[in-house]
Amino acid sequence: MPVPLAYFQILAGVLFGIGVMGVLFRRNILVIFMCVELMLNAANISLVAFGRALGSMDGQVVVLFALAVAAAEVAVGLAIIIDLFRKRGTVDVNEVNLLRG
Amino acid sequence: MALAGFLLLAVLAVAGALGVVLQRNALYGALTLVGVFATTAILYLMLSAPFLAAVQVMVYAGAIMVLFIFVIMLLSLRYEESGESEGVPRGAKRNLAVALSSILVALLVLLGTGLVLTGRPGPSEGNMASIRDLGLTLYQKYAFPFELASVLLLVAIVGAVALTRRHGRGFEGSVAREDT
Repeated sequence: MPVPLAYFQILAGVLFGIGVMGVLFRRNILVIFMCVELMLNAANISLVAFGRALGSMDGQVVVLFALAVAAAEVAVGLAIIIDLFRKRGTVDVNEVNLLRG
Repeated sequence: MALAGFLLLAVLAVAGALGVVLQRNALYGALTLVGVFATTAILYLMLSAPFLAAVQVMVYAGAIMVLFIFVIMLLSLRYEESGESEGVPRGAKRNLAVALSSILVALLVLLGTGLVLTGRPGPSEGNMASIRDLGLTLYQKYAFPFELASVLLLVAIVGAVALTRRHGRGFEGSVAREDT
């Protein structure tokens, strides 16, 4: 008996929610960044499950593009974090106010 | 049988995700995140997406997480420096964060159960999609976005190098960076 589509969607929703909770709770910018990756991953699960249910390949192709964008995002994001740490000596998002936010 | 496997994987994934959020040490959080990505790869196999499962392991669990762990160890943060020694936000802030994220989870789960009630067909057993189909779709229907993705990756490489380059001796910006 195949697993119903809804179960995959619920799992994706829960994972996404945990990612949001991490972004709201944590102050270590590296952990926040990992939680963003978690949310991207949850969205990917959802896309693949929908694509499977509809019997089309488009869902998987979109996930491939999401992977490419995530790789680019991680490269640039971690570079920014390293530069930030060099400048401010901290990875606490509350301490960082270079843009006077 | 498949359902039991799915439930096991789901529990593992949620536990790993909670580990990322609750683990005090960022390095341990990164390791549980690797677990989440690995279980996701197996879920892709269950959804008959073997190519994505392989790419997930190589790109996410491999390259991206190695990069994360590399940066965490490069900065080698002590707990006091990570800004979380004062603990997670307390009082109203904390309640607001909990309320917002639980509303979001509730909405998403509601959406999922809506799919159960409307009786959307589950993943069909037939027409096993092959890697060949994926390749044809990627190179025919999505050929142009595929090329754009390569440009994006190139720009990301250049951007990462430009951002982390030390303006050391020999460059005109040698003094600009040191006094900050």
